[in-house]
Formats: sequence, C-alpha cells, structure tokens
Amino acid sequence: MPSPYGPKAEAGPPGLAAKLLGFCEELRGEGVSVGTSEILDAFAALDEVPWTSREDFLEALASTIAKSQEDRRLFELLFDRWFFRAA
Amino acid sequence: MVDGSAAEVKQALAEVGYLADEPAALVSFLAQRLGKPVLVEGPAGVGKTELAKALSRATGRELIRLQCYEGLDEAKALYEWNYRKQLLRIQAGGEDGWEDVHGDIFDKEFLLERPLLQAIASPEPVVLLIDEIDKTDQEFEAMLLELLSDFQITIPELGQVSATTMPIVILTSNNSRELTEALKRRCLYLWLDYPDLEREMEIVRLHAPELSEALTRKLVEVVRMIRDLDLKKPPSIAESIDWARTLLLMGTEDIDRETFEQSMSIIVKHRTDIELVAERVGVKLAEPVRPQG
Repeated sequence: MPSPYGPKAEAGPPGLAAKLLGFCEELRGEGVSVGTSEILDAFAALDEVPWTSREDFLEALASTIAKSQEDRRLFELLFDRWFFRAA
Repeated sequence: MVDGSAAEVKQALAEVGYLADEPAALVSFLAQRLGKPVLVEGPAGVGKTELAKALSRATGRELIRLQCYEGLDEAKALYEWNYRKQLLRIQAGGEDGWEDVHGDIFDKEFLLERPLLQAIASPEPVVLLIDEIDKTDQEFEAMLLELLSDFQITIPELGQVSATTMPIVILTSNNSRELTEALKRRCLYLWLDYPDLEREMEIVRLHAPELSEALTRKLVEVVRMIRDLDLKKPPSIAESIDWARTLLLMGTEDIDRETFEQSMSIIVKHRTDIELVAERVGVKLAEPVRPQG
C-alpha cells in the first residue's frame, strides 16, 4: 500500500546531512551563531563544489557558516574531526 | 562567463590583473552561483575593494560603487527627489490643476538615482560595491538588509522597483565596528589578509614586470618586515606596487640604505611611522656601495 505521506525524500549521500547538522550543533555549543539560514546556504554551497576536494569543501562551508575570524578559528578546530577524517 | 567553476573565476580574475587566492576565488564563484552578497573583511590595503573592481572587469559588468561614511543616509545611498526641478515644474505649469502637477512631479524624471537604486534598476547586470560598510550606523545597515534579501526598493510615490538582473554585491569592512548578525547572515563571508611572500611577489611582478626577481623578492621582504612593526598605517599591496615602479624609475639595482631612505615615503606615510621604520628597518639594510676613487 502506498504511503499516505507520499514518496520519501531523497536522502542524499549517506550521512552527510546528519554530519553537517552535528558539526553545526557543536559549533553552536562553542558559541558560533549558526542559524537555519546558514545551514541552508551551506547545503546550497556544497552543491556547487566538488566534495572530493578538501579545500573547496572547507572554504564553501566556512564562507557560509563562519562569519568572523574567531568563528573561523573554531570552525577549523572542529572541521577535521567531522570531515575528511582518515578511515 | 566566469561562473563555471572556482578555477575559472580565478583564471578570469588573473587575466584582469587580480591574483586571487583559492578562498577568494571560491567565494566569488559561490556569490554568482548562489546570488548572495559577499562580506569581505580584513586589514586596510589587502585588496578588498580591488576584488570588486576586478570582478567587474572580469565579468564585463558595470561597477556601481557606494562609498560609505559616517552619517550616510538614504537620500545619498538610495534616491532623492529633485526638489529644484519639481519646483520649476510647479511654477512652469501655473494653469494646470493640482492633481495634474502632483502626478507629474513624482515621476522618474524628477528622481535622482543614487548607487543602490541604480544597481537595482539597471537593465544590465552590475557589480555593486558597498565600500567600508563599517563606517555607517546600524540604521543604515537595517535599510540595507531589506535591499540585500529581496533586491527591491519601495519608493512610496512610485511603487516597487525590483531588480530584473542579479547584481554581484561586495561589501567591504575594515572591522572598525562589529556588524550586525542579521547582515552577516545574509552574506557569504570572506576574510582577506596580506598575501604570503610568494603571492605578493607574483602580484608585484604582474604590475611591474621589468623589476628583476631578486629585487622584487627583497622589496616584498622589506615591506613584510615593515608590516610586522606596530604602525599607524602598514603598507598596502598597492603601495608595494607603487614602490616597485618607483624603484624602476630610479633605475635601482639594490635596495640599500640610501635608496630606502630616498623612496620610503612611497610606502610609509605617517611621520611617526617614518621614524620608526627608519630606525628599525633602514639600519638593517646595507650601506650603498660607493664607486672607488
């Protein structure tokens, strides 16, 4: 029987959305003001860059999320713990 | 077109004489793709304004610049009614009824378009540079918010003017005050700093290609040494280029103490700075070699 709620939304690459949200949550904990609009912008920006390049991925995220030098410092401190970690 | 990829943007900027680093190229690319304004912060003289000018050259778009200052108001930033011309119209049309004149004098003909309205109303896409936004007050910032989120302006007598093309918007700030969260939220953020030695050498060589590589290196090294001092106004990249051109004109072969003292006013401009620089940097340079005999 088809679901009354319509088809499920595409999940995107496994885990990325959840990871990004978790990353933003931790940044908030450190005092970086990450709003919903920043998170939406971050997803939009990631659509435009190759995810395989760490630098592009980092800069695209940073430009949408970290909006001062202090924010950027915290961003870089946490970034490697969440993304591009050696398996 | 310069919105294909960050690498293409970087290439296009280089072709018009602006060597952007990776983050600057990427953010310029994202600004076009996402249609979002860019807030560029960083010390004075690192090329924030120049980035906007280069984007205008690279995209072939007209540059519309709003230079901010303390006390800047909507009349100077958005639009103003041409009051004198309106008065003339009223006097000239003595026979017309008030209704006619009233409808008439609030026509586009009597409107003075200031940079923000110009950018919105332009039929061709433009680059809008809002320079030194930190010099305005929070009221002005609030007004900008509306403009930057909807790209439209409401003129009570005329109605709404909406952008038909998406401008590239660059806001610069020297960090003289913290900007509001709301404004930052709407912008992509780019921090520009002084370039590293190699990149500044590339920039200087791009604009003064006749200067030898060894001399360019020494020049940039000295400029960087000066920037490390606690100066009122550290030398900008533009001043490095000016100095390079000056040395070329002087036919200099080496930056020794004498050349330095003769030409340092190109890069250091405050009296107290000049004293400090002469004392701390000048003495480290070699004495000029005097011809023998």
